[in-house]
Amino acid sequence: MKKAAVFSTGTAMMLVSALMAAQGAMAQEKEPVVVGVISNLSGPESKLGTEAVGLAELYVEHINAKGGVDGRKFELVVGDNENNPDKFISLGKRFMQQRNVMGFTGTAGSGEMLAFEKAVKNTSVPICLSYTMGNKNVGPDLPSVFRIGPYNGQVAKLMANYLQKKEWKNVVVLAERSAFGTDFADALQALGNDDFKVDVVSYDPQAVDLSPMLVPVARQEVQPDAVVVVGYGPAIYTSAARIREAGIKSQIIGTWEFPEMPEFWSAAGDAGVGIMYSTFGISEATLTAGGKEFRKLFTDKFGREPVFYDYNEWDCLTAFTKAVEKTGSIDRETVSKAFGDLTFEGTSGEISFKQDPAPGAWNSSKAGTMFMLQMGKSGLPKGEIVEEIR
Amino acid sequence: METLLQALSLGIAIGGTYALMGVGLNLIFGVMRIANFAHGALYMIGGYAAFYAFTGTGLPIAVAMLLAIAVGGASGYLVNAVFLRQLYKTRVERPIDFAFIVTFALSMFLGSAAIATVGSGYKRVPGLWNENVHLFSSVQMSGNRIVAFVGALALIGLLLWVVKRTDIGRGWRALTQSLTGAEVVGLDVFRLANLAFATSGMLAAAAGSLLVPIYLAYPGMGSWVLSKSLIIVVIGGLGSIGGGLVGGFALALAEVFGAVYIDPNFTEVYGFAAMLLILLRRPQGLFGSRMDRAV
Repeated sequence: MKKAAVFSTGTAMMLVSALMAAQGAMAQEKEPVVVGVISNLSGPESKLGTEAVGLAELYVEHINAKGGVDGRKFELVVGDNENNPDKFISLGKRFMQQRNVMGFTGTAGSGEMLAFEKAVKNTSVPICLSYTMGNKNVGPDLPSVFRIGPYNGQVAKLMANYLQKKEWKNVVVLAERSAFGTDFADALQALGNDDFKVDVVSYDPQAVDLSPMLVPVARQEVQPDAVVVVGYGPAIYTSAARIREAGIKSQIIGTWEFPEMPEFWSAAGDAGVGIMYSTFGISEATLTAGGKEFRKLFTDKFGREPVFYDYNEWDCLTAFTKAVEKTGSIDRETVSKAFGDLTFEGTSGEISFKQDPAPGAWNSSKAGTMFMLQMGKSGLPKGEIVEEIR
Repeated sequence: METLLQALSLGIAIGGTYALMGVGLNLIFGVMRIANFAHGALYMIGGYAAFYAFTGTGLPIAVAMLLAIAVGGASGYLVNAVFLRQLYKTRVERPIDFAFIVTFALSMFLGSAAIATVGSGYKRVPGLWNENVHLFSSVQMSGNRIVAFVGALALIGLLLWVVKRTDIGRGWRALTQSLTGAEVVGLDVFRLANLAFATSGMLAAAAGSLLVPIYLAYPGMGSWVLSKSLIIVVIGGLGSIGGGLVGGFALALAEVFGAVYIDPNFTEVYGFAAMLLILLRRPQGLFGSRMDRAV
């Protein structure tokens, strides 16, 4: 009987110890912070998407080496949206249901991202945009969507300032009929007035030849001072050649860095010489300590300097970390609410999400400076800065 | 007047290349009464073949284009001889559906294969005439567009000669009248169909290689070609080579004149509008007959 009592007591103590150990282990192993990176990994912009995934993996290595976030490991779930809104939505929903994804980031076009944002709106999952520039991608009707980076409303305003400063009074925008292209064209046209006339000619995103729609532009009584080209599809690369083929001698302006791509020069040849384009940059002087650390990590891993969007993406991932640290939770709604109140030091200054009603500015944290560059010779990898625009 | 001339010249130049795309698709419609949904993929193969023949081997661009046409021909032949073989060797209950599924699947496969093998970027070769040319003092046009137009018309002319003057053409014409009748009189239907597919592939690849200097090569390039080609055959008439020719010009002129004289924002819509109009007024197309007579 005594033996039995001793055995029972010993067993009970062992069980209690085992339970306590298990509880301790559970306390140490909190559920991870899982962020979904859904980018275009197979379409024409796949290079950008692949780079965004590499950057996110670098962030995960970096943050987990520092002990994770509030005792939690930081994990990624990566998916390819195949430039297809339906694929984006199904993948995102699956990630939330099966992988417990807490928030999303990545490089996606404005159209497919907007479709996704609307589809998951009811879940309150926080989405941080670092690359998507559409005005409609943020707003009071999408309270869980935040942006660190430039947006069409901002670019249009800055570009209008530049065009007017050059005293160019008659501008034609060749806009791809997409959330990105139409959005920008509408924003620029809204800034037009009697002294600054903005006409918009839109085209299908799959269009390959802009020549038919350039005939009326070329045959205007007075040719436009500038033709602004905005889009992502194949026509953007051949636009300069087609504009010159139509006999239009106006200044050609791009709204992103497509003239830096070899495909552009291959198609444009001499027609591309003199093209101007806008880009954003972060100057050395504005880099914070965290920004300098990021730049070193990035350069060591990828063997190149980070570009503007890389800084934004890093700041987006940091925002998730800050929101979890602040709330101690990985509940989507809680984290989403915390996002709105965040103020933290990003790679190039303070990041906060103000509820500004200007087009595209809602929950958007401006970052960097816009520059206008110009290609002086054929085949240059990068243009020369002609102006910093404020 | 200057605007009219410019619009007319551009419409005719684009129309020639559209016709080349449409005639290739219509040849298959006419001979086999099936739709080849891999037609756009054959155009893509031609574009890439010209690019790799030029950049990979250093061949002169004209030779690279001829090589691309040969690759397109071989690809077209394989589509029929391998993937549609069951149409001829067994009695497929619904041949039109079968051909649709097989060629559509092939088209998807080839598009994805292009991304996986050559990447998703845009590629281009220099053309044969890389300058903008002034015509009639008020018309300006890319030299490469003129080359593509002349090349397209020459190839369509060659096709018409084959159809009218050779045994192969006579065989094709027999097939358009009655497949069963052609078999009864001893014609090798499978061989003639293979040749039709090879010819159609050559025409698609020729369009692809002639237009790479203007439109670039990229994995999704086949989808717009298929879309335009289908509009062309509906306008011109299913299965008619002449219809493909006229349909190509009609589509291009509708797009250019619509953009110039109505609204440039709806350029792509005018072709569809023309197609709908034809379907309402003359469902068999401008040159199609109610009996589906073709080439």
